Amino acid sequence: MGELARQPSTTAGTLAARIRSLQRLGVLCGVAAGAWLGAAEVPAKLVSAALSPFLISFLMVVGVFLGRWCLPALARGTSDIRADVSKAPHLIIWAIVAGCLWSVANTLTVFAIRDLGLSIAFPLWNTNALIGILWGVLFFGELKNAGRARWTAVLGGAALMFIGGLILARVSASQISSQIATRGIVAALGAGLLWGTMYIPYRKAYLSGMNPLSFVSFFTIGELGMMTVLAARYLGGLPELWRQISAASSVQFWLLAAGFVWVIGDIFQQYAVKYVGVSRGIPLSNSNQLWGLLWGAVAFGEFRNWPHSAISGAVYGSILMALGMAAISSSVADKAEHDKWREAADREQSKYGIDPRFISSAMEGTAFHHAPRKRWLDVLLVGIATAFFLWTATRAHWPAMSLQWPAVYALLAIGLILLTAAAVSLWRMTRFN
Amino acid sequence: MTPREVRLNNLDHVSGFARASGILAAVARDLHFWVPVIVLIGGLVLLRWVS
Repeated sequence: MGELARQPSTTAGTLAARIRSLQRLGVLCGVAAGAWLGAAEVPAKLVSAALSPFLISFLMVVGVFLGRWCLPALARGTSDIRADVSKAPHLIIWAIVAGCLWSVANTLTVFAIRDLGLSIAFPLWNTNALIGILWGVLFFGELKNAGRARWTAVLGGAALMFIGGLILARVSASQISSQIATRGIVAALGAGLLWGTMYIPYRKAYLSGMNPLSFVSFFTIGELGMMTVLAARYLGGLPELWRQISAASSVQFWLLAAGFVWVIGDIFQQYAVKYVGVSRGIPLSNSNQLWGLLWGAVAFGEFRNWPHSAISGAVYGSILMALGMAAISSSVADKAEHDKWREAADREQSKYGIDPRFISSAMEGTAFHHAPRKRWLDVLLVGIATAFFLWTATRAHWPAMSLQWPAVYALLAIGLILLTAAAVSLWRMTRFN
Repeated sequence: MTPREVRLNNLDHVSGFARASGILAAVARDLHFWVPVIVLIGGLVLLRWVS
C-alpha cells in the first residue's frame, strides 16, 4: 500500500470502529436518499400533461441548481467549498461531466414516464445500480477481497433486480401500445446507463477526499449548462425556450420543487456512496423504486384501470427488485475490502498529486480545513433561492388532479422522519464532511 | 512548461493558462474519464431518437 494507507491519523482500533460507524451512517443516508429521490417525481407528475419533456426537465434543473448551491451554502458555507476545490481542482471537470450525464438521463426519464407511467418507468431506470456495481468493481476495487458470501449477495441481488425489471417491462408492454412501450423502455434503460456511469465521477470524487456538498455545487453547473443546450436545441432556440417558460408560469413552482426535492435525495445518495461505496450505496438509494411505486399506486391511483394480473406483475416485479437491493445492501464491507478502497484512493492520490492528508481525513469523515466563513455570500445565495421559490409559488395553480390525501400525508411524514434522522446523524458524526 | 510537466500538486507557481492546461491534461490522461464521455455521447444520440 502507498502513502495514503500509511497516514497515522488515528490508532487502528479507533479507526476500525469509526469506519463501522460511518458505514452504518452510509446505510441510513442510502435509505433516506431512496425516499426523497422517489418523492422527487411527484411534483413533476402533477404537470406532465401538455408540456414538452425538455421544458419540464429544464425547469426541474433550475430547481436543482438553486438547491445545489443554497443547501451546501447553508450547511458548510461557500468558503469551505472553495477550500475543498483548491485541493483537488481536477474534480471540477469530473463534476461537470457528471452533471451533463444527469441532465440527459433526467430528460430521458421524462419521456419514459410519459410513455410508461411512473410506477413502471422507475424500476427500469433503476438498473443504474447494476451499471454502478460494474464500474465500482472494474475501476475502484469495490468487492475485491470481499469473500464468497458478499459476492454471492451482490451478484444474487443483481440477478433478482434484473428479473424483477424484466417482469415490470412485460407488464408495461401489455398495458401500452408496443411502439410507445418500446420507446419508453429504451428511454428508461438509457437513463439507467447514464446514471450508472455518473457514479464513476461520484466515487472518484469521494476517494479523492472531496466533500459531497462541494462536489454537487460544481456538478450542477454541468447540469444546467447541458440542459440549457438541450432545451434550446429541441425547443427551437433560446427565444422559444423563454416563451415556453413564461407561458408555463402556473406550473413553474411544481417543477422547481421537484428539482429541489431531488437535491435532498441526491445529497444523501452522495454521502451513501462516500461511506458505503457505489456497489452498496446505489442499490440502497434505488429503493426510490418502491417509493415511486407507492406514490404512483397509492397517492395517484395509477393502477385503477389495470387488470388484476397486471397489478400482480408490477407488485411481484417490485418485490423481487427490492429483495435484490436488500441482499446487496446487507453485504457490508469488511477491513480487507476497505483496504482495497484505500488502495484505489492511493492510486487517485498518485495520479493527481492530491494531498494524502486531505484524502485520509475525508475517508474518516472529519474536516481537513476550516476556512473563515463568508456569511454575507452564504446568506445572499440562500436568499436568492428562497425569493425565487416564493415568487414562483405566488403564481402557481393547483393542478386539476385527484390525490388520495391520507396516503400523501403518510408518505410525507415518513420522508420527513428519514430526512431528520439522516441529517442529524450526519451532523453529529461528520459535521457534513 | 508544457501541460504534461505541470503537476497538480504544484500549481501555485504557474500561470493561469498552464494551471488550467495541466489540470485538463491530467484528466485527459486518466482512462476512466473517457468512459462517462462516451456514454454521454451515446445518451445524446438516444435522446434524439426518443424525442
